This record gives sequence, C-alpha cells and structure tokens, in this order.
Amino acid sequence: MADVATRTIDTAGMGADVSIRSLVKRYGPVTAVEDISLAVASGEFLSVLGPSGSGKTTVLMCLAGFEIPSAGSLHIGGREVTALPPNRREIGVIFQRYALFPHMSVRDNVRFPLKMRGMARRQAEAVVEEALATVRLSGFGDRLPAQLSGGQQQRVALARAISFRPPLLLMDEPLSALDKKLREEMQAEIKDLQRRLGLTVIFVTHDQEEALTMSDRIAVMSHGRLEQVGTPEEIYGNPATSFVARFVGETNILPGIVHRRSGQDGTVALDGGGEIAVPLPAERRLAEGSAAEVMLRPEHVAVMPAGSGVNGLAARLVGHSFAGATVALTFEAAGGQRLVARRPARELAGLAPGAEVVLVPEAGQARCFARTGQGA
Amino acid sequence: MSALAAGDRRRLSGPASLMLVAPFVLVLIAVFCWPILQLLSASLFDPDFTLRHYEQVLTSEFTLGVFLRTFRVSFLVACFALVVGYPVAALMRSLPPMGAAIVGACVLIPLWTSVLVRSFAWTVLLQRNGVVNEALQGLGITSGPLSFLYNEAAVVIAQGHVMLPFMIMPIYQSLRAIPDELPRAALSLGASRTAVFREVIWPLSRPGVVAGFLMVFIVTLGAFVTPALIGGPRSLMLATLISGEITENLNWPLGAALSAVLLVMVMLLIGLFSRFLRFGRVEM
Amino acid sequence: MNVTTRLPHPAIAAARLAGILGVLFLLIPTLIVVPISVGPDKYLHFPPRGFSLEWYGTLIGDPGWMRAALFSLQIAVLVTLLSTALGTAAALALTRGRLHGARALSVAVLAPIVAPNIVVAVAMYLFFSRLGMSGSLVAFVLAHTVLATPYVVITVSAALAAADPDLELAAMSLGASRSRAFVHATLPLILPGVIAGAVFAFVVSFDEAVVSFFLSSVRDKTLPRKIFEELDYDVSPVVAAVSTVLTFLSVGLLGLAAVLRRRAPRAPATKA
Ligand SMILES: Nc1ncnc2c1ncn2[C@@H]1O[C@H](COP(=O)(O)OP(=O)(O)OP(=O)(O)O)[C@@H](O)[C@H]1O
Ligand SMILES: [Mg+2]
Repeated sequence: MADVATRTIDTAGMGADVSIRSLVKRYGPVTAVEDISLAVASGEFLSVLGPSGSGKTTVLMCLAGFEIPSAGSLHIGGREVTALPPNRREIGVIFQRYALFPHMSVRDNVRFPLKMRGMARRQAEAVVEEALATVRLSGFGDRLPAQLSGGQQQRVALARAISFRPPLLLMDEPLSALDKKLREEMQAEIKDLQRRLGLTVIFVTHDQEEALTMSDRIAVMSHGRLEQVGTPEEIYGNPATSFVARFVGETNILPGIVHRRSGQDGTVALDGGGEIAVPLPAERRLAEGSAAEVMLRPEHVAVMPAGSGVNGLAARLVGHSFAGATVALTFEAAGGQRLVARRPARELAGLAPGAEVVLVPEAGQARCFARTGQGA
Repeated sequence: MSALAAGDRRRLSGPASLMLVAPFVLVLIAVFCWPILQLLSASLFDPDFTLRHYEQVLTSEFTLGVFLRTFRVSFLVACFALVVGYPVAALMRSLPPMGAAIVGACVLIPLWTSVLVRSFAWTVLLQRNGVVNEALQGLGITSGPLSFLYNEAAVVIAQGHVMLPFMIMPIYQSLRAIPDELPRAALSLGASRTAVFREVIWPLSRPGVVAGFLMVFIVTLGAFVTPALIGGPRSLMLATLISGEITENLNWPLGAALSAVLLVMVMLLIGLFSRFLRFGRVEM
Repeated sequence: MNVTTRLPHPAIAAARLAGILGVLFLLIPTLIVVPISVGPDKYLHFPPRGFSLEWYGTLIGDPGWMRAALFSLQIAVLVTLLSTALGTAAALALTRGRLHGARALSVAVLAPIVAPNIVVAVAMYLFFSRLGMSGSLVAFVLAHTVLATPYVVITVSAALAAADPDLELAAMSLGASRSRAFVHATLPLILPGVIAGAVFAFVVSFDEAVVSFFLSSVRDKTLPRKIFEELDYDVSPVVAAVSTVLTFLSVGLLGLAAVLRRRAPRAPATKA
C-alpha cells in the first residue's frame, strides 16, 4: 500500500458514503437494533443520538464488523461489507476508552495499522510523524499510553485511526470520559480534522448538545429504532415524534384534546384549561377529539402581565433560576400544570414569585403529537 | 478525631499482634525451620565437618545426570503445560460467564484431586494392559502391548497434568485483564486474527505465561509423587533420588546434601523471579 | 433482506478445539477412575463391562484400608482445628496488626507451600526420627499443620482485606469493647473465609502424600501412603474405589469452600 504514504493528509473529499439497509441485530431474545435504514453521504458528519440501551453502539459495531447483523445489509463506498471481516473494512474506529495498546509506545500505536499493511518502516515513520502532528502530539512518540492524559490518549487514538487514511471514521462516545472543557476542545478538533480530511464520520453520543453542535445530520434512536434523521435545526425545531421532542432540548409538555382541526392548523384544548393553537401537518393523523400532547420549548413562551388583554394561559410565577444571559422561569398554570419559560435575564425585572401573568406561545412554534401514554 | 488517629485505632496494638502471630511462628520455627537446619547440618557433618557429600553431588556423573534430567523434565513439563494450558485459558476467556465457570470447574477439579489418584489414573491408562494399549490394539494400530509407562514422556504428561491449573489460572487472569476493545481496535486497524494474537493478545498475556511457566518449572523441580509412580529407574528425578538415598540406601548425608542443593536452587529461582510469581494466588 | 452468517475464522476454530481438548485432558483421570471403580472385573478394565459396587464392599471390609482411612481422618480433623486457629490469628495480626516486618513475615509464612515438598518431608522425617516420634499421630499433626496453615492465612487475610475495618470502629463508637466489636462486626464478615480456610486445611492434610510417605510406619500409615504402596505393588480396582471416594470428598469439600469464598473474595486454592 505504498500509495497510502504518498497521499498527504490534507487531501479533501476522501470520505466514503455509507448505506445501512434494513439492519436488524438480535442477541438471543433481545432485539438491540430493529430494522434501521440510513444513508450517510460522503464527507458527512452524522451523529447517532439516543438514550442508554437504544442500540447506538450495536449499529456502530455492525458497521465496524465486530457484530454480524441478524438481517439487513451494509454498504460502504458502494461496496457491500455485511460479511466482510473487520480487518478488511478499512474503517477507523475510535472507542470510548481509547483502546490504545498499553504495551506499545505512542509511535508504535500509530504505526500499527501501517505495519499491518506492510508499509516499510522508514516510510511509516514519516506518516506517523505527520499523523501525530495533525493531532498536535509531535514529540510524544516515545511515551507509553499510560504516561498521557485522557485527552492526549484520545488524540493518539485519533492519529492511529486516521494514519492509514480510512474513508470512514466510527466514534463511540469518544469524549464521554473527558471533562467538559477538554470535551469542547476535542469537539472542535475532531470537527476540524473531519473537514480537512473530508472524512465521513459516524459519531455516537448520548450528549444532545454535542450532537447539535458537531453534526451535519443527527439520527435519533430509541429502543433499537430510528425516530428521526435530520439536520440539527430540524431535529430541534421540528421534532418528528414526541420522543425526539422530549429527548432533544428542554420542553414543556401540555396534555390536551384536539379541539378543532382545519387544514394545516388546529387548536388543542388543554386538560388544565385554556386553548393553544398548533400547526397540524397532514402526516400527524390527529382527528378532532383525539388525545394529544403539545410541546413548547421554553424559549418560545412569552410572558405578559396579567390583564394585558392578550390571549394566553393564565399562570403564576413559582420560581426562577438564573443562568447568565437567560433566566428560566417556572410557572404554575390552571390545573397545576407547570411550565418553564426561558427569557433574557432583563425581563425578570418586576416579577416576583406569586406574580400573576399570561403565558403566550410564540406563533407557529408549538408542536402537537398523539398522546402515547408513555408519561412525561 | 483526626484521620490519623482513626487509622491507628483500626490496628491492633503491637503486643496483641505479636501474641497472635507468635503461635504459628513458633510452630514454623520448631517444625519447619529447625528441621531444615538439621537437614543442612546432616549434609555437612559426618560426624565432623566435611564437604565430601557436596563434592559427590556436584562431581558424580550419575547425580549430575539426574540434575540435568530434572531440569530437562521440568522444562518440558512447563512447555507441555503451556501448550495445553494456553488454549484452555483462552477458551475460558472467550466464553460467557456461565461457560467460563464450567471450564473453570473442569480446571479446578483436577487441582482438588489427590496427586495419587491422578497418578493412578495415568497408570491405568498407560500400562501394558491399559486403556491406551487396548484401544490401539483394538483399532489394529499395534499388534502387541507397548510400554508407555516408566519413561520420561509419561512423567512429562502426568506431571504436566498435575501442574496445568498453575499454568491456566495466571494466563486466564492476564487474558481477562485485556479489555475487548483492544483486539477489536487491532482488527479495525487491519490486523488479521493471527496478527491480533501475535501483536496484542500474546504480549499482554505474557506476564501470566511467565508466572505460570516459572511456577510449573520450579514446583516440578521438587516433584516427588508422579516421578516416583510414573517414572521408572531410568527416568530418575531429583526428588526420587533423594528419597532413594534416604529410605533405601540409608545414606542420610548424601540425601541431605541433595536436598540442600535442591532447596538452594529453588530459593534462588524464587528470589530471582519473585516479581513474576504468584504463589498462593491461584484463584478458585 | 440479506441474512449473513460468518463462520469462525479457522485459526479461532482451531484454538477453540485445542481448548476443548485441553479441558478433556484435564478431566481424564476423573473420567477413568470413577467408571473403573464400579466395574465388576478383577483386572482393571475400561470401559467397565457391567456395574458392581463389589470393590467398595471390599474396601469397607478391609481392615488395612479402614485403619488408614481412620488414621488420616483423625489427623485431618486435628490439623483442621489447629491450623484454623493458628492461621486465623496470624492473618489478623498480619493484616490488622502493628508489626515490624509484617510484610517479610507474610512472605515467610508462605514458605512451607513454596519450599519443595520433598525437602520439607525429608527434613521433618529426620527431625521426628531423632525424637523417636516418626509415625506418631503428633508428628503427622504437626507436620500437616505446618503445610496447611499457610492456606488458612491466605484465605482469612483475603476475607479480612475485604471486610471494612471501619465497621469495627463504628461498633466501638457505639460502645462496644474492642473484642466485642471484633466478634460482632468483623467475625461474621470473615467467617466464610475462615470456614473456607478450614476446608482447605482439611483437604491438604487428608490428601497429603509426600510427608506422609516418609513419616508413615508399617503400622501407622495414612490413606495416601497406603494408596502409594498399593500403586507400587499392584494396581487393583479397590484403589479405584478409594480414589473415587477421595475425589468426591475433596471436590465436594472444596466446591463448598468455593461457594463460601464467593463472599470472601480473592483467596487461593494452591496445592502442589
Ligand atoms: N453482547 C450483547 N449481548 C446481549 N445483549 C446486548 C449485547 N450488546 C448489547 N446488548 C443489548 O442491546 C441493547 C442495545 O445496546 P447498545 O450497547 O447498542 O446500546 P447503546 O445505545 O450503545 O447504549 P449506551 O449509551 O449505554 O452505550 C441493550 O438493551 C443491550 O442490553
Ligand atoms: Mg454504547
């Protein structure tokens, strides 16, 4: 594989497209992944987001070849890899706990994939140095992994995974072992590297903020199924299911009954009293009279003084918590329904606990889902 | 109360500790250390001080031959145990907990079975009218009974069997310490299955291999029961030679000198390799 | 839909097979001895041509075997009591005490199981012969106690290491005396370890072959020494019956100890 060395790391656009078709993975009676289909474009950064046990790792392990799918097929760069052993898939994998070889120096770790490809030592040295420089670890080559910090170890893992120029990088919660500040630094570094190399990245995380900031698209999983695939804006602003709405970002959940429906719009009569206007796209099969849930992001709740004449939900301020630029205000509406509004801090002036207000949903921002009975 | 004071309170007082260890230490001194010193002196005084017996041990072609054979057999036993034991440890590591527990029990049942019982079984298997011979003749592979017993090969197999748990357990422990991600990472980086073993699994399990190998080697140097029952006069080992000098030839000084040399060798080996050894830590 | 199965890599399949063969090899003695002991043939035959408990009958009817078994049992019981007491006390001092050179001492305490059996046996033989005690019950009990106590020390030390010393402090802060605190807070926690140690001691003594080989006299011999003689002289199915009994006894007892030790993690089962 002499050509591996002659390509330089700055070549862009080397990413492979990935296609997952009807993937199913069962472990005995447990179905970890249930019929997932997903296409990832070349050079795309896709996050897989979901709660613990939702099957994220399983999808990744099937792609990497460590698990054999129970059904379905996998294609990478146009080639079917479903039954291909992991060592022939040419995929870089980054593990949560780094998985550096403890008995090898940093240099030998990074050289490992080159050695496995039979690259001459001299040539490999140059590639190793370049890869280490890419992750800003030049000069650390002689250390053992145990002599590095967590962030440095993860960077070595990164250097090792890109040194053989795989077109696809799989990362399983690579940053979850790092503290917040380091994690943010590494997010930027990974993102930067991905752009420069034009890599396709599939990035598993259960940190929604991480997914929202880093991804071109996000795939949200729950119970082994895909809930929604979309850009961060779509996922946050237009969740397809109540699960996605609950899982990504903060949200107020208001149970009610669909009161009136006309075309793409409707109103929901809330259980606690009051009415809310919601968009009702055709694909939401919510007939009049059916049980529904209205989701409202806190930043889409405007706070008006009581008696100002606007239409909204009468509520009383019960608490607030200050978060720098914004403040989260907790209200109690009729029927004991709690709502949170997130407003710029200056709006708090003049509001004391017990204050009576009217809460006004921002037009077009409420989302309505069928009530599934899975609780709040 | 400071943490230091609390730490002190947790410990028994000096005199109380002394009173608790003293009985066993006294028994050790009286029934272990003292007899060994007596044995050493028996090798040096006959009745006056002499190094004659050591000279005999170290110059006689016969005893040197026995030393050589003991080392060779011990080395072969360790190799045999490694070759048979490593795959068992690897199998145990690769199985889910229930399967690993079952294989673990299979490893420990022989450990818990008397060495004599095991020698008996090998006798039954290997003797002239034994199981192996009958099977070979039954299958028409051989026409008459062969002698498998009373030679070095039989000792290596039987003693290898006795020592297997000492090889398997430390290897299993070091294999268990390798997280699943490491072989997976190696595979994803392009290593073949054999390369994963050569580059990752083997180097990381080497501490267990070294510990097992040394323990088997050292213990076999002084092994008595199996060589006595399975080995013949032509495969005499150190322990059987010592026993013969003392119980048959009644040559106490020579037996004592041989014992002293064996003891010093074993202690030297243990001292040299103490870092790697895990005596008293073979887990159930 | 495309269902795929991947056969294990040939190298892995071969390694697995080697592992399974290794396990079978480990089980050979047990798998051979038990069937032979219940076969009807006078001469050892495998596989047995029928079922008979004749050899167990012969065994029970033979005063020589019974004497040896009783003698071994007597020794083992005394050794168990003695080494459990000595070993538990020593473990307490070594893990919870204040001793100069405690570390060196914990190594020294293991010497009897690390030193070559043959050397220990010959030394004790010389020692007890000079005292005119060779073959006596006292000699056997003392010798086996030296060999068995280290196992008790290791097992109980492990149990103590797992038991939180703060519990005793807590008990004392609630008004218990030092000794009452030990009895109520620590002892219940380490008891499984102590019992496991006692079981080890019993089995070590009952199965001990090398020291017994030298210390036994024509009249007073232990069961292993008796088996030794039989094996040297003539291999009969009675030995298979004894071996079976011995195996089930050891495996049963040590299996029990293993279950007990689940609660007292990390301790050994070494036996050379
Ligand atoms: N080897 C296995 N054997 C049996 N069940 C498994 C196995 N691996 C995963 N599972 C099950 O499959 C489901 C999905 O697991 P998976 O590890 O993919 O979840 P995840 O989304 O990665 O969770 P986490 O965020 O906790 O890492 C879980 O219910 C898990 O218990
Ligand atoms: Mg996971």
